[in-house]
Amino acid sequence: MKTEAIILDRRDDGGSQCYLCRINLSNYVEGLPPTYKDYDVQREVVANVYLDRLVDTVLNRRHIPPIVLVVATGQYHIKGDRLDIESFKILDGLQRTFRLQAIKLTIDFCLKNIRDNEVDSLLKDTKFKFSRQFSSALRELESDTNILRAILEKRLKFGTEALRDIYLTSGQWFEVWVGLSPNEEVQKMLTLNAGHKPVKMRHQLEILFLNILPFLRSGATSEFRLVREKELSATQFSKNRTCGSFHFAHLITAVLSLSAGRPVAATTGLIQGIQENDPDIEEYGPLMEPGFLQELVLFLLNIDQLITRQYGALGTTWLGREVTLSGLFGAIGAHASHEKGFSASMSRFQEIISDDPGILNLKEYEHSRNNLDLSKVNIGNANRRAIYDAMKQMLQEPYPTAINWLEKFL
Amino acid sequence: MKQYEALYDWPIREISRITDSPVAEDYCDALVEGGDTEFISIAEQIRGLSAELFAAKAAREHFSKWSELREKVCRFSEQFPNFPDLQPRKFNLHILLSEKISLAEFAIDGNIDIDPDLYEIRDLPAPVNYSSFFHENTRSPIDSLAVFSYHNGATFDADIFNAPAGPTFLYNILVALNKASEISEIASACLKQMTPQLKIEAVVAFVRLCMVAKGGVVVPPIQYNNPLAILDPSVFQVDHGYQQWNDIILVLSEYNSRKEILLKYLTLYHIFENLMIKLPIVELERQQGGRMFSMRDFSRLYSQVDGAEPKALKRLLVSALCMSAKPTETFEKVITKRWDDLITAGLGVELNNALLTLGLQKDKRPLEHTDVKAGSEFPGQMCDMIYRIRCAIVHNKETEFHLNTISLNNAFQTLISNFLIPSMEEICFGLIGSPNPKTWYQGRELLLYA
Repeated sequence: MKTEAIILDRRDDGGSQCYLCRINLSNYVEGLPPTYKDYDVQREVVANVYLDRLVDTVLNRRHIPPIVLVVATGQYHIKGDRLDIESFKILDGLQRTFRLQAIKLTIDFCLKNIRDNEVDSLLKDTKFKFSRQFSSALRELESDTNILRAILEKRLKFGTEALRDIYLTSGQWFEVWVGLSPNEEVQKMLTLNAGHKPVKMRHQLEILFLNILPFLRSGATSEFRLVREKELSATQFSKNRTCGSFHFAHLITAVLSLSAGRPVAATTGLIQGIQENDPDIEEYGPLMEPGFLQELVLFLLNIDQLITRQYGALGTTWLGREVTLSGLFGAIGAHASHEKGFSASMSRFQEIISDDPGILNLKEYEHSRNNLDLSKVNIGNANRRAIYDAMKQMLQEPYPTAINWLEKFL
Repeated sequence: MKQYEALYDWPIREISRITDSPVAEDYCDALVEGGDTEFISIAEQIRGLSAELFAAKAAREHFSKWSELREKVCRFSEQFPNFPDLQPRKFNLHILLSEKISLAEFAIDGNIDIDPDLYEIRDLPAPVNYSSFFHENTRSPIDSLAVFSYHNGATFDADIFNAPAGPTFLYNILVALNKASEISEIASACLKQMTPQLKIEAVVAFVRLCMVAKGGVVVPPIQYNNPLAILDPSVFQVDHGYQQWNDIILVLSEYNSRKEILLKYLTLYHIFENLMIKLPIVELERQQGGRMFSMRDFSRLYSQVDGAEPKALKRLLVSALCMSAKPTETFEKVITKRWDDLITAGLGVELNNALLTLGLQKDKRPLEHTDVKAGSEFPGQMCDMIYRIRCAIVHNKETEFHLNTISLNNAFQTLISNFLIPSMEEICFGLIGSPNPKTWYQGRELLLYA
């Protein structure tokens, strides 16, 4: 759906332009791209008093800080002071947008399912009873009963029409950027994040990947397919994986391992405490370049094909595991610190298995892995370490030979 | 019980209780304005995850949002700590174990039946000086053990995550946890359920055995970190010729590298042993003044060094204590002043207790701190203290008091840390730091024939 913006101001910024616009909330929410709901990053909805009370801000028509959008070339049209947008990406303001949409959907729910003469009696119910009645329906909308209650209070006080009008007549300010290259988009995202409460590295990488996904799916990497947690959990992914598809969480882990030069375990709430000392995103340097990430994806696609051709389903499953990508990219990262850089190490690895795909010796890997004494080793750590050691050795040797997995799992 | 029941039944039940029960309703309704809003918000989020738990259970698949559930349950526990019968530690542990199974990609096998009466959770009476661990007995799985050191708060989650454990045992622990009430904030163990129930002393002993088998320590060693007591380092001079002390200097180096108090004490005593033997050799060497040693001289020397160790130690102390420690004070004066200062500081009772335990006597009654003062008896008293502490550490007889980390009470810590070690350090560095006629060879060689 087309999004109509009224231009309030503009500025030229090098090769790009920024339009300060007003878009009414209804139009904005309805114009959200269909892929927006797939963003895994929304699972990171954090406890935030301001955001939790956004419903009051909206209902009272108070100011919400500008949201920053990026529009690709050819996806917008300017006529006078109107900027018509076909599709956009959200560079800053994802959490606010998520809540704005939830509030809109809740208003719609309220207007559709609750009659005027029911409002008063519903508000007289205890909050708990109210919650029991409506929470599962609102959960489908990713909203909650506190929001519905605030909406009903507004409806009781000002009437149904006033409620209906809120989104239709509330204008929100946006910075709309056009003409940004993928690199500039990333830089702008970093700038917008700077000074904010630090967001976990994994979260920032997720946003980055999703923002450049169209770019990643172009050209030589057009066969690349990203599977998200919503479609299939990371732990179940490897079993039915097809060549060319990679799980989002595994990809992020791979990049983190590459940067660290060692295997990084999947981030879970279990070990949040350990990973709270994330380095600043600026320290990730070349990893944040869209060009590099495309190179990384191409590398993955190439070795995926080589491995699948050599080992069949065994190989496809192997490359679909988090422990594999973590160990492999940790080794590449470690090797790269002594070499010319990540690109050179990835090329070296690809060259090695291209010359001799049997070098990975995956049958022996599976056998060794399946014979681990689980009472003595942590299976995840053991696998990561074995793969890391094996890949690192392979990269370091001038004439690598088939991996001895029995030795690696000792 | 099936594996999927072990994973999901209790969390689903507990979530229902804290978010959707009459208890929850009463609790919420009693909260002040604002508090009830917070409660509803978090309760709805948790309830939402419960629906997904149901779905995972029905599909016999792993739930993928354990960490999200854990974060919300933690938040609930922190914001509403007085919710009736809350079991935050049990919940946290359940989630950690469930996610451990999930992340290790152990598939859920719907055909396996788990006996709910195999294991039980027992609270331990004291902290376990070790991180949480799993001890799996692969030949006799029923004799496996898991210990959860909740008092290791900062690393608890990571310890559980990283510790190796097989899926069968993990499911059994979950089943045992399902039956338990809230687990101890100190430490708990999961082990074989027996009838009658295993005595807690037996549980603790088994836990300790498994822990030391993993390299753990039951009681952390007590460290001695005081700076070295050296009365006058200015006596160290370049041309004194310290090479005759090379061996002792190496022992002192080892002494410095050791931190545990009893080991340090023994190392210091090792130096005293060397000095005890060197004393008569130096005496003889100086008497000969470079003349040839005869067989009779060696025989006399042997008789001096061979003999009861306490006698040799006393001989050393008699010589050392009357030597000058500082320009105006002897070692005896410095050391007895230290003793008096301890009494003044109110440590007399502690010292008396230590002396009593060591069995030191004067005139057929227990030696007391007031008996210890400068004079002819002091070297013997100090000798007794030094030697008996040494024996108490080294010997482990049923008939003798044995000093170890556990029996090293305040009384002995006072005696050793505040008196004996600093005094012995001062004597050591004093005797080797500055040439003296008692412990320094006059010449490099012994003349064996003319």
